Amino acid sequence: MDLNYQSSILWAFLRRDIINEVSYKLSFFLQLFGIFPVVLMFFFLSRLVGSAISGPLQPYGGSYFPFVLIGIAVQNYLTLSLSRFSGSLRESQLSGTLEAVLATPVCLPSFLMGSTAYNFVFNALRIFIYLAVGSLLFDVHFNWARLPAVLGVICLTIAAFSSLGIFSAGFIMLFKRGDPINWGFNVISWLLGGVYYPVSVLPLWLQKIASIIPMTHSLEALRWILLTDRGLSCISDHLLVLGLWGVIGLPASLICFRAALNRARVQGTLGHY
Amino acid sequence: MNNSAIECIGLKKTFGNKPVLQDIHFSINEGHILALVGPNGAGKTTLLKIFASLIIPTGGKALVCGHDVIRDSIQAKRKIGFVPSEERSFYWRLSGRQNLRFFASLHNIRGKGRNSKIKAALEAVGLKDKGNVPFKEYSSGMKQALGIARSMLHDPPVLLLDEPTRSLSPDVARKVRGLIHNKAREEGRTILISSHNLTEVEELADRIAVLHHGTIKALGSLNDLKTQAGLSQSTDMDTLFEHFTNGC
Repeated sequence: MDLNYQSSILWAFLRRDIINEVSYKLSFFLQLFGIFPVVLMFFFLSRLVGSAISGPLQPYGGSYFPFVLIGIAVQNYLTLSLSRFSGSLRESQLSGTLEAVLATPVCLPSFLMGSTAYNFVFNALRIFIYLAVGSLLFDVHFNWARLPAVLGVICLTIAAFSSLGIFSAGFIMLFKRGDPINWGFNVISWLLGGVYYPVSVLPLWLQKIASIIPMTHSLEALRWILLTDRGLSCISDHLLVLGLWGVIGLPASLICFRAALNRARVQGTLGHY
Repeated sequence: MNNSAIECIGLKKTFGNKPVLQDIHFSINEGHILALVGPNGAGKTTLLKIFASLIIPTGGKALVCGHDVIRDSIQAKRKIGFVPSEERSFYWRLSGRQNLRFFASLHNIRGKGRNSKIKAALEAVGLKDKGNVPFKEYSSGMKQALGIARSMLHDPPVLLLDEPTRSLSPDVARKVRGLIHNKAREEGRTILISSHNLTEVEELADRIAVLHHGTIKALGSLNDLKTQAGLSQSTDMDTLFEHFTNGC
């Protein structure tokens, strides 16, 4: 594999999307500044909650605001990034560029990675804005010295969630509209992943379901890294689950996407929308 | 020695139960131009998209420079430049030059050579001064011309052109026809072109394939077709076309 070629493809997609997004100036700035009211709302909510739920929050330092700040930052990141697999495919069907791109010798993984690269990068920036706003404006203490570990967890999280995104892109390739995979996992992640409340408050049977969702493990790992001083060895189980999602899910989702693509090529519906 | 750049061996395509292409056989030698003519729905675009690896045939084989377009699609795609018939194949908020730069990267054209290739491609289709204009501001003809420029960026030995002069003004269409002619005659590129413009076909093609209801009704040079039809050599293209397509 020619790594220079693959990286130039990735950069070409990234550059294309940066030019495209920046051309919608108002939307671009609203996406960035939309973070502030959300953070403010959860700050006031945490003042209302106060120390009433500090018991379940003890493993994460006992305070609700930092806990939920990490939750909404990561949930926001994953929802926006995940939806881009199917979203960018749908856009390229609508704009008629899908056939033009697939008539070039670009390979499937590069096409999928390239189509979503901008969103993963831009939304990673949003995570840091969320945390920086919390840190600078609301005096939340994060363990910034562990930033490399945070980046490591985010990379594993991207791998785990990309498999779900690629599955949903395969669905869009075949059925053009509707995205039940993305919708289902988003709802399950919001409900059971520990975004707004710790998983420990759920009934035991729901905790068991939560333990197989990547969001649960991503949030647990990030909160333990950023909010506590515990050794990194205590997040190894979470990293293992995220890694398994990536190792098993990515090849499986690529196989499914390839099958969906070939079916569209058989039906002659590649450019249909 | 086989010097076919394009080969079609018993190609079949059905969509559901509807046959679109049936037992298509032909080959095009390097540097030659074959024109596909036929009424709407004859299967011309489907045939071109099979060669571009965008549609998988139901049976038979399609080869580009010896590469099977299904089994060896990446290699086959490196050898082709494809111009789709519709203008919706670019990013509207990017300029013509930015669009070409994106597609050049997908074709592994990098470094200093990329800008000169983009400049040459824009010049060749009359868009030299419009490269920095956003694609959304292009006229239909300019969009079509940019598609032709894109197909030539990576110097492919084979060009697949689906109605390349459809929306062009007469002067740009003439220029593009000259370009297609030169690509074949001077640079030795092989061209498979579909067109409804019979004058253009007569001017450019070495051979003509008349497609009707998914089958090749006639294949050969213009004079061969007239002989096959039993018509005099002075017969015009319109009459010849009507003869093979029963006036469709």
